[in-house]
Amino acid sequence: MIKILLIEDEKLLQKSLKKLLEKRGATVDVESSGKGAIEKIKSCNYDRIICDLMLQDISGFDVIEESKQRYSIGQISSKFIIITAYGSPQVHARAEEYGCKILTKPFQDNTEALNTFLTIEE
Amino acid sequence: MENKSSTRAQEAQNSRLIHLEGSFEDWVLDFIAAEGFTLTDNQQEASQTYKINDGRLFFDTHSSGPNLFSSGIPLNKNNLKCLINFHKLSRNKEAHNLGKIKDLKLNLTNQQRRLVKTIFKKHLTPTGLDEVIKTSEEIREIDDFYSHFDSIHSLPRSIIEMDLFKGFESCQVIVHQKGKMFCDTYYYVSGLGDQHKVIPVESFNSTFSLIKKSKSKKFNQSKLLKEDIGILGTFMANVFSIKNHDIVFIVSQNGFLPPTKEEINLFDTFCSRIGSVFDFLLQRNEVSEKSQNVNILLMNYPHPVAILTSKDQILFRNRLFDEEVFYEFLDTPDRFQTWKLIKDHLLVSRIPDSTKNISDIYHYQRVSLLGELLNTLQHELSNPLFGLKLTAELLEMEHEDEEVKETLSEIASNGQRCLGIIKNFSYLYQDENFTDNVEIIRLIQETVILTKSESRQVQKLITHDGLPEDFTIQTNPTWLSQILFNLIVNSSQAIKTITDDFRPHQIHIDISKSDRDLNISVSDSGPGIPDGSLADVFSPFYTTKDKGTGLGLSICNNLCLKLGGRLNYSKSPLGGACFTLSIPLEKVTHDQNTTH
Repeated sequence: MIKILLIEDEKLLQKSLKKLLEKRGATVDVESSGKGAIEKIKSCNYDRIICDLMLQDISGFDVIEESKQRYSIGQISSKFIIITAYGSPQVHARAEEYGCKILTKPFQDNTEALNTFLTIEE
Repeated sequence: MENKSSTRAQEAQNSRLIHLEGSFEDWVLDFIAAEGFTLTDNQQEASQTYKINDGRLFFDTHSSGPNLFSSGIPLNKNNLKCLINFHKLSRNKEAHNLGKIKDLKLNLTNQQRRLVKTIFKKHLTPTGLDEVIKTSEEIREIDDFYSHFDSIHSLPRSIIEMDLFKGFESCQVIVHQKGKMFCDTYYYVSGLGDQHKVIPVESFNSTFSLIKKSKSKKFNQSKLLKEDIGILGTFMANVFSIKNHDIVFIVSQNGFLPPTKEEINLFDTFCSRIGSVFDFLLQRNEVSEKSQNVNILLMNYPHPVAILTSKDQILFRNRLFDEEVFYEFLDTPDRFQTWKLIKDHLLVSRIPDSTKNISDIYHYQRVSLLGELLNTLQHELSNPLFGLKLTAELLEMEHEDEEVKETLSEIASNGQRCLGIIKNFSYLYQDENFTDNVEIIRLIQETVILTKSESRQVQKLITHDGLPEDFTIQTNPTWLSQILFNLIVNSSQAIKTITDDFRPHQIHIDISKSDRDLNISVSDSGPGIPDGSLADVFSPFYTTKDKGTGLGLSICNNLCLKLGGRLNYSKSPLGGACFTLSIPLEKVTHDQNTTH
């Protein structure tokens, strides 16, 4: 069973995405703040971390950076998928630097987005 | 009577005869023939006689004795032509008509040209030929002068170093530009070099009038002792008044013996020539002073200013001009045009463009502000809307009750519509230099939605006979949408001004294709534009609205030109105004220098 951490501060979106992912058989933890997410990443071993870019406290990239440094988990950034409503070329370039996927909200195709979230490359 | 006329004919014929002495190359013959003259061996019947010796041209005339140009002038086509025509014109009464000077097309300096004009005006009679020649001589000598003197600063040195002034040790030139409180004094003593001082005008004035009153022009310190005059011993002095300047000119041998008669003669002769040199140098000096002032002005100008070559190289930039910003703008030449107030070395502001720039700046500010606003809005609205939509969709799947399902479905589709509008908004406010394959009809439909707040009560009709729904064209969607937005809002506002008429109003947008262009016309049933104002509609700041800036149509017109198209006005069949936008079907590489 895939274990997912969903970091999203928009409550409705958080709820609905959680539900959709659970329907597809994943275990989903949710978190609204970036700092809270970093704490969660420490204790639980997630297969996938879906992270909103513009959180209330810190940015999604800060979450990646902090997790990388604090836990020195190899390839942790490849577990991240950034979701954002503001998909500028700079943001895409930065995501590429970290080697993580990026999806723009609203998703073009919900099913396809879910597939991306649930596919774990070895 | 008959006799008289035959003499005149004879004279006319003789006036075209030239006598040449000495050996010369063939081109001289050809040249003379080309000028309409004939050579003759008989010096008596010729009107002009020239001697050629060792590549120099000497000439005399029957009226004024031989060898007026004792040293001759270089033999070349220009000089020969100049001389021949002087003679020709001197015998031609029509030469008083100054228009003739143009026909001469003499290759003259401005100084020479002015002298030539004076000659023609005052002296051009057969008997005045003497003077003509003398003045020609002056021209030549002044030319020699000019080669000696490059600036007023080094003039005293140049004079002392001339052979003419052998034995003289010092020279001083004091220049007062009329209206100024101070004068410049340029002073040279052999062995001591050039000196430049600024002295108050009072001192200059007394010196000037004293020298002016003196007949002998001989002075020494007992007569004129001023610390501002650096000359020692006896000296010769003269004053000049030319256009904007008064000048005191002093030379001395730094001795106590009075100057000899020859020296005084030499000085007088020299003074009769040097006046025009002063004039020439001071004018040149003034020009450089002017450019210095312009430089200071530009340096402290409260806006970024640069002088560019046509290849965008910076020749000059002022304090506020940021080179980084400049190079950033270089890739977007349309914005950059506003910087090009001054082009090349010439301080020429591009007046026809300046009004265009105003609309450009205004438009750019508006678009970039809107762009920023939209970025924020897009993020702040997209996220919650997406949540709303996704939740509604989920709930719709889970619920059984048809009525609830329907409501949830409406919530979801409304959310989707809002997301669409925001996305389209952002699409329509892209970066300036963005072209895309644009589905024209969809773009128009979206733009119409954006105008809704202004055009609420007006029926909008979009027709596109013969064009498929998904017809695409490569263009800049931002600009195109903004043009249409402006036109539709204008039409709506115009329609609203009609208050006494309750017939249904309409804006008709028609899309059609001609050979090369896509034509989009926006016509309305409003009051139209009065014939008298037609010429002004595209000018910036022309407005008929209470709250208008008058930039809307001017911006439209500019954007249209940027798209490689044009915007035309005609009367609408609906009774109001009709603006037709024609843009090329094939994308035209936009040349920003093309102004229409």
